[in-house]
Amino acid sequence: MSGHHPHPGQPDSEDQPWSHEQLMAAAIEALLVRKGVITPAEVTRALDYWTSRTPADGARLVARCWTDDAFASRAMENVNEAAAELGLDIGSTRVVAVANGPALHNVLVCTLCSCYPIGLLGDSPGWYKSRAYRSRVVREPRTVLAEFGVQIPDAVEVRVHDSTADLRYIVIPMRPPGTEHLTERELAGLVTRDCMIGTALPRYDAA
Amino acid sequence: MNRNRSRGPATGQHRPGEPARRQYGGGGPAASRYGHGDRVLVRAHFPPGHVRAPWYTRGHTGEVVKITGPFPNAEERAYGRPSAPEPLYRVRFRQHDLWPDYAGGANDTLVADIYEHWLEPGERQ
Repeated sequence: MSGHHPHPGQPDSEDQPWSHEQLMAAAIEALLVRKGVITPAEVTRALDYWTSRTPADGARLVARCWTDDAFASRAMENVNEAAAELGLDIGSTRVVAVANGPALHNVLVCTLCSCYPIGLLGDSPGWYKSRAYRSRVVREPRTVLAEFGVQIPDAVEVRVHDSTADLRYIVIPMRPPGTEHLTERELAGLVTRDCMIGTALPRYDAA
Repeated sequence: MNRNRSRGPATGQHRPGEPARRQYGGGGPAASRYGHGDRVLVRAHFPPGHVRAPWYTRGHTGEVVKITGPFPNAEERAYGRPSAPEPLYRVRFRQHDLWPDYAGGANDTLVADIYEHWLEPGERQ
């Protein structure tokens, strides 16, 4: 079918009314600039910083933990400084590493809002901010994990970390078996964002 | 204008490209009221506002597994009020204590970060 077939109209952003939050943010930004508290260049630089963060950074940290026990110990002590060793500036908010083991599986949430280690993992997934995930994972974590395709044996402790205040978290998953020959870079490729939230496990299928 | 420091660069507290500040809230344990392994009870209070002790932990007893901070009290900071730094505890609860109908394993736990002013001494098990 060709010819003059009208597409259903999809409104452009200018066609929508501004939300209260958009108006407030724009007004506050304009005021802060006018009063000389911040400059537009600083706002742009901050946005550039946040949007350049990616889970690949967290994956590098995990892969280094897998290949360097001394580094892993330092990361368990202080993630911010361990990340700096890799040349990563993850910001000043303190990030705490929680390591999975044969008898322990960790999973992260922020029930109060959406706290997340953005400086290390980039922006959080939409579902992480959803009411369903936030309310359910604290009271039926095994059911929620199963919905993500993660089955945790009954004998393994499931530990939920509710990030309620000044700390952020990263899960250090267990290194999959059969990966002894992989390079650190290849190992990092196995570590997805969800592995570091605890809603997935790194997988390696030998070809 | 320190109230939003933990959010990072957008506040101007930490500028991109500069090395991260080395103040991750260390050095609190000396002034903390509770110690590692102590049983603590989260106060069963329900004040208005954006308070940080999750509702489901209030009135429940857990164990201090880590002492961090001191951090400025985020509940005061949220409203632009002066906030004295205080210890922040990582408190571990048994899931079966939090949820009577919990369906998971007996060893399952939950760890929440609770400011000291929310805590009272907990009874021994």
